[in-house]
Amino acid sequence: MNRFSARTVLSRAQRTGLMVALVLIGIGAILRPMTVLQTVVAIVTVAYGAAIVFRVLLVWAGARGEHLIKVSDADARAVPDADLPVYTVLVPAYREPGVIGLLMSHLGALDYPKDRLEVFLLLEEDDRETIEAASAVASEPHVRILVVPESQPKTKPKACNVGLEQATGEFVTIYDAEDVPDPLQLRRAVVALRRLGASYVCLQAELGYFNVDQNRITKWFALEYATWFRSLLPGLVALRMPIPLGGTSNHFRARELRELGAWDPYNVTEDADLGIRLARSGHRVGVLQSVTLEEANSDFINWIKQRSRWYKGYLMTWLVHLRSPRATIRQLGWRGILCLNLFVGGTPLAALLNAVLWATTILWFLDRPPIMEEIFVPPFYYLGVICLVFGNATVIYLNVLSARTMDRPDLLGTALLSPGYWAMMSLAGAKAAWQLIFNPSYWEKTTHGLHLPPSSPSSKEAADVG
Amino acid sequence: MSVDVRARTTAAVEKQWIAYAVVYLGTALWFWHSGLVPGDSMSRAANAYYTLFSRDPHLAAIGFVWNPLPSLILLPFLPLRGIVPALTQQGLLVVLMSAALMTATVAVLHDVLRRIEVPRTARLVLTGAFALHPMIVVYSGNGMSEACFLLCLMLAVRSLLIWISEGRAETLVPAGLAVGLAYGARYEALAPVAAVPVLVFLTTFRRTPGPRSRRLALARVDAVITALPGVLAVALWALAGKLIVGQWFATFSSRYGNAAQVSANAGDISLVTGDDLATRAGYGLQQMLGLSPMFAVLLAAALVLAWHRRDPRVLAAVTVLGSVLAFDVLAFLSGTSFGWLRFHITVIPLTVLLAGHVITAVRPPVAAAARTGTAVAALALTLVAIPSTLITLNRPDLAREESEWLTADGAARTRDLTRVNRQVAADLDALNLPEGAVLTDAAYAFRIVLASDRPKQFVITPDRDFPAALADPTGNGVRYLLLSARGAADAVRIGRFGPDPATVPTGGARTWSDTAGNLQWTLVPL
Repeated sequence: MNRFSARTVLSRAQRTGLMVALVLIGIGAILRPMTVLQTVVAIVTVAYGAAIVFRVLLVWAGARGEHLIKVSDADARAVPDADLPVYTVLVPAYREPGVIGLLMSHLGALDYPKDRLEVFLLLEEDDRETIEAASAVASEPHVRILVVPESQPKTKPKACNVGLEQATGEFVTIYDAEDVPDPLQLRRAVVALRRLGASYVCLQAELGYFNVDQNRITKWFALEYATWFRSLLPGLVALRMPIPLGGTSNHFRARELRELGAWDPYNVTEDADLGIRLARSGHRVGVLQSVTLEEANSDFINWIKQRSRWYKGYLMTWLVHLRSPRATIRQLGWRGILCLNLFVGGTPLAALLNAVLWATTILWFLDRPPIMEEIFVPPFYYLGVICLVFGNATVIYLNVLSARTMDRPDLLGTALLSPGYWAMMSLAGAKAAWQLIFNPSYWEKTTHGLHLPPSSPSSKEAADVG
Repeated sequence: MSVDVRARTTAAVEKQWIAYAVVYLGTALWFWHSGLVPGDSMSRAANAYYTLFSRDPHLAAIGFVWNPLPSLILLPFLPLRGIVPALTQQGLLVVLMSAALMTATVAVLHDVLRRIEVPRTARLVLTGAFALHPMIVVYSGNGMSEACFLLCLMLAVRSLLIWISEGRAETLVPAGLAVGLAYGARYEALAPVAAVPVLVFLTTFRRTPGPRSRRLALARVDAVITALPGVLAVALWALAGKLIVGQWFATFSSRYGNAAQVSANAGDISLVTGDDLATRAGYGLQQMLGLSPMFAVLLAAALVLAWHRRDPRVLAAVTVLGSVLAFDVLAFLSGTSFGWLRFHITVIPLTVLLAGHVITAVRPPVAAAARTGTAVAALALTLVAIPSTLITLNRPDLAREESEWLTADGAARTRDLTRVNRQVAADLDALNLPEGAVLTDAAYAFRIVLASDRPKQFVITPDRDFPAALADPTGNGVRYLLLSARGAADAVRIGRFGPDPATVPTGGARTWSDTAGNLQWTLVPL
């Protein structure tokens, strides 16, 4: 059993610590309510400011020099088939019979010798529809359907672990059922991992969207991903910090992945958690320039569900790795600790706090309650104002810059309207926090196939665990 | 061996800023030691000082009449006054700061010349032509905002030049930030805030291949990336002013602001500069020619050569520095500015950079002799500015401010005012007054507040209880009113005794006058 599993979100020590802290705060709030409020505001403001500074630092570091790993088409094709290792592709899917056909054609487009490719469709025992649909199309010998026996927790990471047990590949990767990977991606990953040497155990390929122009939400989403994969992750690489992996298109050396205990079936962002665990055991992760296109979530409710799961998972990962702080500090070093707190913990917390801070600001302008002047003591008040003004402006500015660097000048308006997206993030953050407390392991399903015309069967039924 | 010599000269060229730092430090110490630190510099220092050491320390005390950057950069160093009181009391900090900023400006200018590939010797001479230009030397040491402003503008020129050469959108970010910062230093930066995005838009639109709609979209994003920091700086400063002092643009609308000062002094200004457009244009031209006689020639030559070689890089300097120059000329011609000589200061780096562009534009296959000839001519046209500025600075009608420090009569007057202000501060300190005992308008009394050992004895205009103290001085613990003799907008004098200075009671009041016998300050007991 993985010591850092999110099976229990809080360890006994953490639970006790939290209780003691809450009791102390409670006592303080009764005796000296203003001091407690002032302290809370001060801590929140400093943390928030630090998260913004960290973000700017990442973009700056990412923009200096080249931190994406590039393998040219020619180099990728140059490797003779005989020199290629066996590659296992795991495709977990749940209740998406309609997407399976498309999946087969996308995977079929992968430029990799079939005799060295091993595709596992990981389907759940109770999902007869998808199993049947898959059996109908998966005719080629290198594609196998693995039925994951019914057991709790029924999550994507558990399915992947089942797949990994049977995998014979030297390298392993994961795709979601609706993914459209760059056909040369596997070859690029092989070349890159061989070039980088044994210290690199994983490569994260860039994720992009094929339905960017569907509506405002997909545009925001695309812009966010562009910033994430082109600026923030390269920034983490540049600063030699842990990389929280994204759900698909991560390419591993299978042996090290097994040694590490693979995915935590209880963590709802097992990918981010794995990124941290890789860093803890001293392995390195690179970002590979090779895009896998995914479906951007175009529906408001569906988006909130997906995002709240991500945020919940980030919070879980953060708590899980703070479990034995001394070991964490020893293994991750100060850079890793910064990343863990400001990036993994910071991303969902900032989304949540945004709403509170905006509400406070609006309240101030509407009513100017004198108590607020008391709560915000001067240095933190100024810091707060700076965060409010420059923090927001900086993030909008970075989005405009992303629109430019991803060569999508038409997304200028979308970038300038980013605050609307933040409001959605805040909602998701609140939902995530709520669920973390009351329903930690619950996996919010994301419906896929929303980009397909409404007559298509998959748009109604398609749902997976990705 | 020649390689060694070359390497050594290169090192000397790269390190020449150290020599200029020494010159500027000397100038700064001279201004400070001679008691000639100008009022505008002291007032910037005072604005920073109030935020930490006044009776009511708060950030908004920095004030909204003057753009805040020259004061903000002083903040981290203010606590050092505990060790060296002269830093704030005698304005030493502010002159040291301008020396440091001007040194940085020289370094950036040198880097720009290097990036446009001006040969080493010419680069050395051109950097010297800027760094040792008398006007630059004076403003390196007098603590005024020019050094800060020039540094921001030169950083903008540098980034814009890099962008024009390399075309990476990321390099527009520092260009935009530098222009935004420049607005933090002086409001004339409104000109590049507007002009630089236009240049970026046109450049991207012209040089991007592909269909018109795509070129337009890319040009628009590039312009927005460049414009946002500047627009944000303008909007935020305006919003902060509106929220805190109730005025969007206090520089223009405040009774202490530029517009009010210009209209209050309109008579004096037109007496020197002339009333009608033609005389005023003549006056401005004389000032500009004084600072850079051959500017127009170099501008024409650089633009023609740039056109001929299809090399748009010269537009970086022309847009950033030229727009500020144009803004000041227009403001002066329309009668909304003082017409100070320093308003033309951007012509100095612009001339130097234009000469640099002229020199690099004449390249092989042009014959070596012709190249040398061009270089010598361009350098001569630049260097002629030094003697002509020396002459201009000695003409009190053209260099009205500068002559108050540089001519014997002017310096005597400035020193005398410094002496009076320090005397007032010393006399007040001797009274051992409690906190908040002296009500005064800091727009005029800033030098006294700075010079005092007991800054908390003053209730000053930025204090949040100033309006209450003015309405009911004794009820708020005020014992004395400190009134300026001639401050056109002295809030305390006007608030208590009306606009006519003659109504100020003299019985029982203590007064201070300058050596010529002109009344400067009145202390009215309550």
